[in-house]
Amino acid sequence: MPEQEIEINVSSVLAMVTGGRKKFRCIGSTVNSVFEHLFDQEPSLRVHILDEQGAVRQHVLVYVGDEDLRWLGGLDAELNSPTTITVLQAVSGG
Amino acid sequence: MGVLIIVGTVKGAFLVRSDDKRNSWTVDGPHFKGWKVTTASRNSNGEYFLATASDTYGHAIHRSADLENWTQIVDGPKFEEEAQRKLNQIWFLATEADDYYAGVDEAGLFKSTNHGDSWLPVSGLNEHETRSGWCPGAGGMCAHAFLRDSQNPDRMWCGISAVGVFRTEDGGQTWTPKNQGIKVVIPDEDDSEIGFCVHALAQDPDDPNVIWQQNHSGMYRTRDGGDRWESIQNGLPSTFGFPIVVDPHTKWLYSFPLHSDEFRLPVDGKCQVYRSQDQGDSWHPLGNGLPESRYHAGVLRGAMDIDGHDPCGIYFGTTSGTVHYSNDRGEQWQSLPDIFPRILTVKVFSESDA
Repeated sequence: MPEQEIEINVSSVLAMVTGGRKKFRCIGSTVNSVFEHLFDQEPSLRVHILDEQGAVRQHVLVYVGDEDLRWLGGLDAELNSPTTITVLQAVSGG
Repeated sequence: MGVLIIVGTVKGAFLVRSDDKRNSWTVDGPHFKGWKVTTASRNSNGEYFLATASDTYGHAIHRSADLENWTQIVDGPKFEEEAQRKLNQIWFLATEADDYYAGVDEAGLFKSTNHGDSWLPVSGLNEHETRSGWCPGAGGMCAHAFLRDSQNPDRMWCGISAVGVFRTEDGGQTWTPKNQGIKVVIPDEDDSEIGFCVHALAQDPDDPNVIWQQNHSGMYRTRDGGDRWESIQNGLPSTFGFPIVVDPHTKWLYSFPLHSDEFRLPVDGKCQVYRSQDQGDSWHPLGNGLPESRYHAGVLRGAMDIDGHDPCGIYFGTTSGTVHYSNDRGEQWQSLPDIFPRILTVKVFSESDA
């Protein structure tokens, strides 16, 4: 499966732990492999996106293009073309 | 000699610095805007540590030499995958000695022997034989209080809400519940050693065996390191409250009682700190300069602290975002003009110690 070039955008709150950086260029063939490339570049993000069991945190939303990652099969979802991944917090709380 | 107050709120940290007389203040922040800031500490080299949490993005520890540039510790406290536990929040950081400790929710203790670069679970406590009976209280189930014997670093105490106080004599290898004399809050069918809801601990700086405890069920004191606790309620308007701090010079104690575990509001709508000048035998209200009536905010367990000055300063932050302080052992109180978000923690550092 060919690797794709992916742009990952993170929220402003997460940018507090990346020195203000919100955009990352990553490569991979699945969402999981793209995230691993992201964590190679910015190790501080792992604990904020994935939980202790390695799943996406319950209240973190991940969009692949316009699609919610949950409807694409989760972290093993394949990436067949260059796209954008957006990491957001769920709209909840105060 | 001024002080630095790190005010941790649900929406970030504020750095409040005083002049030498602790009368005039500057406020800088928010740092970590949007994150809960749950506790802070400093090590012997003057390096600061600060814990953040988020219901969405989880927890982390950050460190800084200058309070401006912060670096997240990547290999922070973390439960093993097979433990099936969730680390929600870091409740305390003890970084004064060479080995560091962190207490967390869901209840656990972690240790670092490389100045915070990496952390390992303290299995002797985290996998304690009573663990299956540990139950959360209203504030979760957190290891939030930590004391160390200044004359024997292998001897430590850890307080876990809704569970109780544990003591180790062997550097954390084994831990023993130390709650005799305290009223049980959550009786366990099988184990009478747990179910005691410690809220905060304070220790005599000269005699590590003398410890005071604000508990869910009242104020207590031990003179033998926790082997036996006695109730010290004389003069207090209620049994409930969260913080307890001690002035290292006079050994006077300060607390902020609340009306019952059911309501958790200031007693009679008054903002009053209670002080004991006789090691807890009796307590008296202090309120000069504090709001006199119609006051309905609480003070959380980490939100009161004391500086090392003589006369000592006492500082507390409230759930409605105000900070109040006294620079004369509690005789007269003043308030900062700023209104912060809900305050989770107040940590005070003498600027001259850095």
